Amino acid sequence: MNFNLNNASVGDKIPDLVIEPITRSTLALYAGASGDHNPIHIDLDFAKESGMKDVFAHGMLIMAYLGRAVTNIVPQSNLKNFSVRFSSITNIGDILTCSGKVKKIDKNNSKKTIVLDLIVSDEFGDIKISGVAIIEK
Amino acid sequence: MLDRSLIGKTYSPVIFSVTDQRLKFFSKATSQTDPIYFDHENAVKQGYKGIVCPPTFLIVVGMEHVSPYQYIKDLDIKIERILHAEQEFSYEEMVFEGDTLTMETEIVDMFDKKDGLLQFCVLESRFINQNNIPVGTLKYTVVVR
Repeated sequence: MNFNLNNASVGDKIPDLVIEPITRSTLALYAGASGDHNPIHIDLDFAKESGMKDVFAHGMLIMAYLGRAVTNIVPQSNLKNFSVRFSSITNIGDILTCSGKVKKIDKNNSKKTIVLDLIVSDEFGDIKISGVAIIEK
Repeated sequence: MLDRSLIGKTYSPVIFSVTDQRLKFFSKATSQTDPIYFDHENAVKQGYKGIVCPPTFLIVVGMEHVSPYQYIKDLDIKIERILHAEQEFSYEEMVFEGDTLTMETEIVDMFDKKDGLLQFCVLESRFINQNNIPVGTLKYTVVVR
C-alpha cells in the first residue's frame, strides 16, 4: 500500500479501487444481502413502467464499494463519519472507480483528524457519488 | 408538498442479530476482499472479537423492519418517485458478528429546493448494542422526484 496514514499530507491521493462492471446479478445479490427489495433495482418490467430504461444500482451498493476504498487504507476503528451525496444513477455495465484524496489534517494534542474527499465515477468520468470520510487517530 | 407534520414521527424499533451468514452474504454482494469482513478466524487473528460489520452494513437493519417502506406510505407517495439523495453514518463503536442491535428511527427533517420542485425527507436511525452502548447513527435523505 503506497498510502500511509501516519505521514499523509493534504492533497495525497488514496489508491483507486476499480470495480468489476455492474451486472444484473450484482444487483440481485445486493438486493438479497441488503434486504433492499425495491423492484426498481431488480425488476426490468417495473423499472420500465416507472419510466426508466432499465434497472439501476442501489445507491448503497456504490457507497459500500467506496467504503472498501476507505477501509483498504484505514483500520475501520479509526473511521468516525462517512457521508455521501448520490449525484447520478449507476447503470448496468458501468465500470466504477472509487478514488479519494486528503482534504484536511487537524492535529489537536494527541488526536489527529484526517478528512478525505471521496468520489465514485464511471469510465466516462461521470460522477456517481461524492463523499467525505472523517478519520481519527 | 410533503406533510411536514410527520417530522418527529418515530417508527417501532428493529431488533437485529448480526449473524456471520448475513455478514458473509453482504461481503459477497459488495465484492469485499478484506477477510476480516467474512472470515471469523482471520478477524480473530487480527484482534477483533469476530467478523467485522463493514461501514455501510447498518443500512441492512432498517430493511428488516416489519414495514421498511412505511415512511413512504406515510408520505403518501409512490416508491418509484423516491430517490436516495444523501447518506451519512456516524460511528461510536464497532459492530461484530454475534452482536444484537436495536435501531430506532425518526423522521427528523423535511425541506425543499428549486421552489418546491424537489422535496426532501430526512430519517435518522440510532443504534445501540446488547450492552445498551450507542454504536452509531445513520441519516438517510430521500428526494421525491
